[in-house]
Amino acid sequence: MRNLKYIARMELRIYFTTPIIYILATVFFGICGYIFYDLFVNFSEYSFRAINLDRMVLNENISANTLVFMPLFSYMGFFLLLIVPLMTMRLFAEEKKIGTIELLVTYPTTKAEILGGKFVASSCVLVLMLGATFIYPVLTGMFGTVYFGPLLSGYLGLLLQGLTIMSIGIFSSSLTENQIVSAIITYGIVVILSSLQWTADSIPQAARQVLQYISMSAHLSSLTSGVIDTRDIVYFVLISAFFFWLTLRSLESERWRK
Amino acid sequence: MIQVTKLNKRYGNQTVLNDISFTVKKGEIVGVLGPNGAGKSTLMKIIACFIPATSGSVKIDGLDVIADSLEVRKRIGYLPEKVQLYRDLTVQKLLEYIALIKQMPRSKYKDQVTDLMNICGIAHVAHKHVRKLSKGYCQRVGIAQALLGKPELLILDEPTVGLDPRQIVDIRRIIKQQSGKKTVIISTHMLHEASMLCDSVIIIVNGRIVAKEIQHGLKDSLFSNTCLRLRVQGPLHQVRSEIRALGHELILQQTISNVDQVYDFIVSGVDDSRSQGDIARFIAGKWTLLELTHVKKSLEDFFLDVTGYSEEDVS
Repeated sequence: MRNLKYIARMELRIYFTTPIIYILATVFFGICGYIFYDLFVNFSEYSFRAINLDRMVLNENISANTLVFMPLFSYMGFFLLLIVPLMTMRLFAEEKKIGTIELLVTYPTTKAEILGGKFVASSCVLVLMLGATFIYPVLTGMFGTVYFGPLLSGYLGLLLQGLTIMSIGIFSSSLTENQIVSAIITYGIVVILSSLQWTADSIPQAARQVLQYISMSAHLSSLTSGVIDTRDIVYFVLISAFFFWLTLRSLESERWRK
Repeated sequence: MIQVTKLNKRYGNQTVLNDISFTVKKGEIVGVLGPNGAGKSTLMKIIACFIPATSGSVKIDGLDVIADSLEVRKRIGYLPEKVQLYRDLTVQKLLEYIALIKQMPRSKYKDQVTDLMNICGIAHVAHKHVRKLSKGYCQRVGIAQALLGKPELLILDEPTVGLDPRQIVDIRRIIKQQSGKKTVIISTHMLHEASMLCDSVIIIVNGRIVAKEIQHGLKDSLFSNTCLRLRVQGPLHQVRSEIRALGHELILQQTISNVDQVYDFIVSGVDDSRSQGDIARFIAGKWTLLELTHVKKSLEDFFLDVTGYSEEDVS
């Protein structure tokens, strides 16, 4: 798997020499920053009111974790759903469109290494993007109390969700030469996976449990609320592994279709 | 070095390669000749492990391109017909990346990249982005990447197509330098290029081999056949059938003027001066012989001959 490292390094180089990642990062940080500011101001006002109005809401949990970061993570989860397909749409579609895939697959490297390299590079970009938002809890911690344990659980949830969408995005990218089509396929699969729990209400109990387990949003919400459940982690790992397997099959079948 | 056995490639109902078999010895430069759409690039792609054949086998050094694909790919350097490179990297970074992917030792790859940039004449554009290079320079980078890792077999698919004459000369020089050091299989539709570069040629038409392993000596004898170019004024079908009736072969015919019924014929199989005189007298006695020229059968004529292009196709 030595080539994985070189492919990942090269993909990272391409990520940072093309404008799309800077545009996506700017939009992501701009929106997250605004929402964080809004939530933080509301939290300050709420805390101030609570203190002044005879501590009327002492029974309620008014920590920054519940009033700022839990809703912020929900928003961030939604933005990842929008942004990650745009990060991954290029990975195979562009190689196929411009023809660089022809040389790449004739070098002594396996398809798993190519896939792994692309995934690792994209993951690094995602980690950087999520890592940069860690400034919000650090800033909040300067003015109040922040419980970092539940925060890390939330970040783990976001990372797992991002990586899962990434595996779906890479699979979609392997299906087509068109980056827009690739992004649309990813949105379609992710929306279906996220909305399964809404349809689950109208079906029999046994099938409902299966659909609820497959639904992505339920797994993210428990992690962002600070609960690390191995079932959620296994879910994200399984879905990612499934789409990696599909990507390898897609790349192999592409060769036979040529 | 290369053993191709009963190779077939079909796309749906269309047969692109039909029962192709040939062998290439170590150190040989072999040209795969054929008109556009003959199946040359498909053959190259199969040998380069890019696409699989429908049936038949290709073995490189005894290793099957499907079953032992990874091992085969360690032994080859491939230049596709349309060489596409990562446009956002500089030439040097690109070649270094490919050297690492080709599993070159970390201690040596930078030196080899530098050497190859010098050999291919791209050292002065080493820090330029690939997207800013001309087609000729991209082709040189393509050849450099194929040579990286010192592969035993070079697969070059139309390496000079679309280049200007000077670039063509440079690329041919680089290929010629590999003579004896590596086995090279090169596809081209340029006949003189094949005759300049290759030790032997294989001619493919419509996915079939129509002539194969033509060695230099054989080529020389084939192409030294003397022909006559006759410009004749007379009815086309009558002239053609009567010349054929004399036992000579018509290779080429061009219509000079339809109105005046003036045609050029190239007649082969007239090596001795006596038969040349006979044919001249025969034509002059029946129709108007406007011109008679002694010509040598060119490589192009031979190519048209074996690829089955009739005089009607050319006219």
